[in-house]
Amino acid sequence: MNQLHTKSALAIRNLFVQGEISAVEIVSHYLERIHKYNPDLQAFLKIYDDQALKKAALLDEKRAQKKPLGQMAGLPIGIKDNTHIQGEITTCGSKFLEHYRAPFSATAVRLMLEEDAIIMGKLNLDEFSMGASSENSAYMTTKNPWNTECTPGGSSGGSAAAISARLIALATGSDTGGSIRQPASFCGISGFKPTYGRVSRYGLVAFGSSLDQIGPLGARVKDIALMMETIGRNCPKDPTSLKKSSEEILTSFSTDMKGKVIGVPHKLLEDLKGEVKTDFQDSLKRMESLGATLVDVDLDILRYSIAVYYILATAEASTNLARFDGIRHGIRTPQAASFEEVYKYSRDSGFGQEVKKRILLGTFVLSSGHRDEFYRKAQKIRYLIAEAFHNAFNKTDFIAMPTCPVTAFALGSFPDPFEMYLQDSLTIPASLAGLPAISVPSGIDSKNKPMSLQIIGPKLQDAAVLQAGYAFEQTAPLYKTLPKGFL
Amino acid sequence: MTDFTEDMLCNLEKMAHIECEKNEEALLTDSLKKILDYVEQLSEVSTEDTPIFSHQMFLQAKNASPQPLRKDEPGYLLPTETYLENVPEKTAGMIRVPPVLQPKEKNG
Amino acid sequence: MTSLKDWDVVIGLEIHVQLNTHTKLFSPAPNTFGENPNQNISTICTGQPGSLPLLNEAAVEKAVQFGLAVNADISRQSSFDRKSYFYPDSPRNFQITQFFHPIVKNGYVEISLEDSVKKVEITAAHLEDDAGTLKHFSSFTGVDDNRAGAPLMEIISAPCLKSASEAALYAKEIKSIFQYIGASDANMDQGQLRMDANISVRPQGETTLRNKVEIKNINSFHFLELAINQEISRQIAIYEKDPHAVIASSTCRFDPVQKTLTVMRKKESAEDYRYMPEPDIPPLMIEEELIERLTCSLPELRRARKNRYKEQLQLSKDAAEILTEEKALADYFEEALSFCPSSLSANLLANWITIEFFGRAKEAGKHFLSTSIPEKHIGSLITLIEDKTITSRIAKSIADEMMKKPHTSPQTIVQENPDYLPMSDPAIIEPIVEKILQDHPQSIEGFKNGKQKAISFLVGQVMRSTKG
Repeated sequence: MNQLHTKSALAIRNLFVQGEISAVEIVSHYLERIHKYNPDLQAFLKIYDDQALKKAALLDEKRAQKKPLGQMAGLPIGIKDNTHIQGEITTCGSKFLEHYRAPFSATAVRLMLEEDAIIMGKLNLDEFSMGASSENSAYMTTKNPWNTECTPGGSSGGSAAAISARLIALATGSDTGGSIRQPASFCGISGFKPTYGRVSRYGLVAFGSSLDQIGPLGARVKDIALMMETIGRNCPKDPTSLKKSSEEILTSFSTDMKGKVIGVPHKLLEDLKGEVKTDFQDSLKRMESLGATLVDVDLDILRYSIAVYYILATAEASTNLARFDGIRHGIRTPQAASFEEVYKYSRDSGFGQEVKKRILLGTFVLSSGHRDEFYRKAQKIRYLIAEAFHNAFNKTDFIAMPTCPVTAFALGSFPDPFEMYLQDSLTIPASLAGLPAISVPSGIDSKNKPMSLQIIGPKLQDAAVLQAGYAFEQTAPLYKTLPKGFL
Repeated sequence: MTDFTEDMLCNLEKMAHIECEKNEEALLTDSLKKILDYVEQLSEVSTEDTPIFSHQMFLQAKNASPQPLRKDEPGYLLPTETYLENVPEKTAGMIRVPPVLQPKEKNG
Repeated sequence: MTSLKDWDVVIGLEIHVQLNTHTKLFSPAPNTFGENPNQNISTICTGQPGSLPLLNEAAVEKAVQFGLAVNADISRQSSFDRKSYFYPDSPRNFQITQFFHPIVKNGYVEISLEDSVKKVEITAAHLEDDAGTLKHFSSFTGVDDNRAGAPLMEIISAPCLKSASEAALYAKEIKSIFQYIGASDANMDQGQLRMDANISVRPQGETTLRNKVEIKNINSFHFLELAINQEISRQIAIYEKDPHAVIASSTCRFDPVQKTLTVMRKKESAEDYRYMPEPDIPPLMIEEELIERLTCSLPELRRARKNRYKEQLQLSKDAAEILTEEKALADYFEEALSFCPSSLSANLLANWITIEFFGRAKEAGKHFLSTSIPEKHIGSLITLIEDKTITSRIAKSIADEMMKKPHTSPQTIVQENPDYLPMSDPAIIEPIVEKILQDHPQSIEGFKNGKQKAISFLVGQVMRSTKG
């Protein structure tokens, strides 16, 4: 029992469904771990002790009555705190929404609850998902279980840290430019960004509307595939949701990559160095050993991804966050004598510096006289980036790159976040093109920091990408090694 | 290219309705200037005949079709009390704000 | 001193019309107002974080129908955009509109001028959502989101209108189209149709356009003409005084009480809307099949209906004009006609409605359609007149009764009042006639001598004593 957290999500679910363990026992085990490790780790913004135990008791009752049990029955999960659970506070890591109670649940949350998952709490993030270290949270700084002086990455840092420390079996994150994949890589776990439109955005507080996707983080690829089977389907409340119902993923899992062609953008990656580089080369060899063929692809245009992203995402964010004005939500100060003052005071005191900066930048690139030079230009280059991927997929099944050019950096090591932006270079492209992309742990470097392989696939080939990730994972499964101190 | 100045920042603050502290403004101006200098590299790419990326491109996938439009039937409403729960100040079912002034100068 | 002829007036109108769909443009909340504040709301129209706009199929269809009715191009692919501005009535602080690629382009309507027909070009028409409403009190302002998200169409005319009266005629035509295609009641008292006018003036012969002044939110045709004429005079006066004057582009509001134009307080960057494609709404694709279906089902427009009244029902130009001004009235007229003996009753019916009943309604301080008199009753009244059951003098008295008791039929009114009953019993009439002939022997003489007037006099006397 006390090794329950080392098992796969599927295994835990099966233990529950087969009657070998009760839901209350599962939840109690994980709550104990959460209360033991979270005070240092600071992954959870909110822990739902009572609700989780209550739900577990109800689930045990359901099982006793021999009612059919959901696909995620008994699984303790965490939700990134930019995703709504009806009746619960959603802070988005911001002071602005400290008291905001969600009037509805996100579709993804509802679907998992319908499958009998048990929500253990809300997970920390960079404020409004803007950041790559979770240091921009207005509430707490999450630590990396592999090295508590280091960041778990961001913006889904709380989700990644909680999974890495095995405080929950599965977590949701959201990915706009790498916010699931990069923290997954830093924390030595798997993370998946679905095809844009594969998972409903209803109930996800929007940052970059044409980029955002909710996605799973888990210790194993099979675990995240389990969540994708539940949440990856059409949603009538999301106008950008693709008209495709849910698909079986786990049944297609094999370790066979024979006949698969993997594209590698060598020129784009020419600046890779150190252990990340050697680890990547090693990962490619592992794929070859499974039967895959490697080819070179030209994705040179991707070197403009960061510039394109910081124009388009901030432009969208500047409008998405305009609603936070102190009138309908947020904090108000009694000194405001006019509605303009309500706006100014609320937004000044409610938003952190990084959020303000991005709103101002987004406002600038859309402003009269600048829109053509910045916003329109970026939109055109986005087209070229999407086209480059499309062309590459004409002769390949997947594209492989490292998830990050670096490993987890020390907390506080980037006084100027601009340098941090430059590290998103390998995750941003798949977001711009709306492609499914998985990050799978590939190795641990000499400083005991995890590294990961990223596999990108064509649109709507989510199952194929997950399967390729699984095949790679099985060549040297790192989930068997827990970070020291969280055993 | 970009001579991004503190004046320009102030203008942006007005448009975005965010009032930054004086000490923040210098930092923000610097930050924005750095980013704008960085994104200048996009002008290297020739895009004269390039289309704009649009949502249509997300639909160019096998087995992808767009969401049908919503039928004109009343659906899930938000109860007034639930709505007002998150509103900082309210009166008689309305959101309460400081008095909004009416337009002034006469044109004659 | 110049005369108006020396000046070229340039007017463009932007008309906002509220569509009559059941639900809002992007939200499934009901599209009705007037209830208690913040009742007809959803997560979407209140701008809750995490909510997403869902475009209303019926609103799209009504927009296409409008485009077809104004002979416009229907864009097979159009899209939506965010228009950013901060105001308390805006839940998201951006409006979703169609700035770059509107659904309707390059249409026109015809207006009847004194002795010609003018084609007024419509540059574009598009869908957008409305803001909430503000209620002003002394110590605070209350925000109500019932109207937030309501579906609007904005129709933008080319700046080709040359006078206030042309502008009013054009606006009336637009209103009529919306009513006739059933896309809006366009009730201006309820704010369902609002107009913004852009006006500039230049000397005749000048080809470049001068700065324009925008007058916003006019909600009556009368005020539209007043406001435009006032602004034209103002601009002419300025240019007369100084031919090189530059009038600042500005935005005004017309005060209907003071009958003055007031410059609205403008914030420094209020005009930079920072239009951006709406990423949450995929491009709107209009299929050929939809256009065909809507073309076939396009209802009869006002112009066609007027012609039908003139040609088939033999109504006069004026009667046809009045009866078709509001579709509801035209519908009423036709329904009433169905209760008349035949379509030959049309003229009589038209007169009774537009003169007799309209007059009575006006005296009672109402609009005729709100008198609640069923169409069937008016039809019955005409029937009674035509089959000579009653005379037209009696009919007028009956009409007075119907105004007081709208749910009582004319037949019932006649039965309840013996004075209204026609006399057809010779046993009753003959003695009366006898008496009158006895009382007026000179008239008999006169008649024998060929004076027709004598008969009329005698008949009149009979009528007087029988009270009609």
